Amino acid sequence: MFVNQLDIKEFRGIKKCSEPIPLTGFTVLIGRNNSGKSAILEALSFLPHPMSRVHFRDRDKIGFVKDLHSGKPLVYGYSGTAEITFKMSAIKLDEEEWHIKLSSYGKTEGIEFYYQKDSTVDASNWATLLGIEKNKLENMVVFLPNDTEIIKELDTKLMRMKDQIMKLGAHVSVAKHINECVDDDFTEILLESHQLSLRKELPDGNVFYIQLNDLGDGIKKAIKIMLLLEVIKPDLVLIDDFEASAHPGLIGMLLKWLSKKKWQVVLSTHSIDVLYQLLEVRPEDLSILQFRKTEDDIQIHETLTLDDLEALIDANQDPRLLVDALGVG
Amino acid sequence: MQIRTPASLWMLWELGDAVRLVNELKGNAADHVVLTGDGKADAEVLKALCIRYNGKGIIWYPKPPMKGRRISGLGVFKAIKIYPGKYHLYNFLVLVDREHFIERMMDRRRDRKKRDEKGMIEEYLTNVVQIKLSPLKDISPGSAWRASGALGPHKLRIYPVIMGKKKAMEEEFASLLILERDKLKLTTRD
Repeated sequence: MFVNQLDIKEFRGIKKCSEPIPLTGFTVLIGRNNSGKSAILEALSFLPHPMSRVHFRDRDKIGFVKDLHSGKPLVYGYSGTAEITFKMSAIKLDEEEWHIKLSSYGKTEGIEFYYQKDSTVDASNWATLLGIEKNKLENMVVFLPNDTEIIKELDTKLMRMKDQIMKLGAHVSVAKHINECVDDDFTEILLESHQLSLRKELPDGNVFYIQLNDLGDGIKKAIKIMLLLEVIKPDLVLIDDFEASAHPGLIGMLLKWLSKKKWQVVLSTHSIDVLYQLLEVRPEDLSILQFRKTEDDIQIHETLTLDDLEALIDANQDPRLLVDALGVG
Repeated sequence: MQIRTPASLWMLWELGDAVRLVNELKGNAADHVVLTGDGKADAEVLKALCIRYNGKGIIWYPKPPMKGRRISGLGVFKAIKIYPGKYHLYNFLVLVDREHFIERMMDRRRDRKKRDEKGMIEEYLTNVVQIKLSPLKDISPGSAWRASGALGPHKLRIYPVIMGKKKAMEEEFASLLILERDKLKLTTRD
C-alpha cells in the first residue's frame, strides 16, 4: 500500500476533517454531492510531490487540479493556508508523514512540500531522496477526474506509449477484458495513424476496424484508462465518479481488473451498482468510506468493511443513504 | 367479518409521539430507524399513518434501493448490528412481510423444529444478529412486539412488526380501508 492516511485542513470545500481519513488497499468513497469526495482524490493526486507533472497535460499537479475548477486558489474560502498531511507506508523515510501547504494571500500564492519540519523539498530533490528519476515521479500516482476532455486528451499520450503497449500485449489483453462486458468480439486495439481503433471479428469471419472514438463513452473511457494503467503501473490509482457512463457489467469487469493488480485504488461513486459489484468482486483489503459534511464544512467519515456492506445490502439497506446519520446521533 | 387493527397502527401507538417519518435527516438526529425489505408499500402506509400523528420525534426511513439485489426476509434484522456502533442509532422499527415466516415455518415443519413467528424472531436476533435479547413482549399478539437487548456496549430497543395476515403489507391496506369505511358509516349514522 502506498498511502494509509490523509488529513485535510482548509482545502477546497473542506474546513477540516473530524478525524484523519484511513485508506486501505481498495478504498471506495461514497457520500452526497459536495461532501468532499473529489477534494480527497485531488489532495491524494498531489502525491508524490505537488510540483511533479501529470500525464494528460503539460502541467504540474497543483495546476492540473486548478484547471479542473475555476483556476482560483485551492485554499478553503480562496484565502489562507491549506494543509494536507499524508501518512505513507510504501516509502520509508525518517518521517512517515508528508506535508503539503498551499497558501494564498491576495495575489501571492505559495506551495510547500516537506516531510521533516521546516525543510521544504523540491521535486528534483524529492526524486533523488526517493531514489528515482524525476520524470518517474509522475508514474507513481494517476488521477482520473470525471472529465471527458481529459479522456480525449489521453489519445496523444497513448499514441506516444504505442511501443510499450504493444510490447506488453496490453492491446490484446485489454480487448479481451472488454469482450467480457460487450456483445462484440474485439481481438485487439490498434494504435495507428494517430488514432485508436478496435479490430472486430464478425461471426462470418469478416473483420471491421472501428474507431475507438465512435464507441460509447463508457467503453472508450475504460479502454483508455486500462491501456494507460497497464503501461504506467502506478502505485496509486485515483478515479472520480467511477461509474460514469458505465453499465453494471462494465463496472464489474473494471473492478475485477483493478482489484487484481498490485496498485492501491481509491475511487468515488454515487452508484449502488458499484456497491453491488463490490460484493461480487470482493477486492482484498476493501473499505467503503462514507462521508458527510456539516454546515460548517467539517468532514465526518465512517468506515464500512466488506462484511458491513454485505450485512447492509442483505438487509436491503442502502449505504449511500446512511451517510445522513453520521455525526448527528 | 372480523377486522383486525393493522400491526403498524398498534406500533405507532406504542411509539407515542415519535411518529414523524422522514427519508432524509438533514442534520437532525433520529429516534427510531425503520428497516424493511423491498419496502415500497410499507413506506407509503407508514407515511400516511405518521401524518395523522405528526409527532415531535423522528422515525427515519432511509429508502432502500429501488431494485433490491437480494430478497431480504428476516435478513433485514442483520442491519441492526451496523447501526449502533457506526451511526449511534439504537431504536428500530422492523417491518417484515408474513410470507417470509410462512416460508420458514414450512421449512421448519420438515426438520421438525416448531417455532411461531415470535420464536423465530427471537432465534434470529439471538443467533444471527447476536443480540443479548430479553424475551419479546406482545404489543399485538402474533404481529407486533417490543424487545430490549444489548449488542456489545449498546442497549437496543427493537419493535418487530409482521405485516399482513398471510402474505404482505398490502393486506393491511385492505384492513385500514375497511376500518375507515366503517368509521364513516358510524359518523353518517350519528
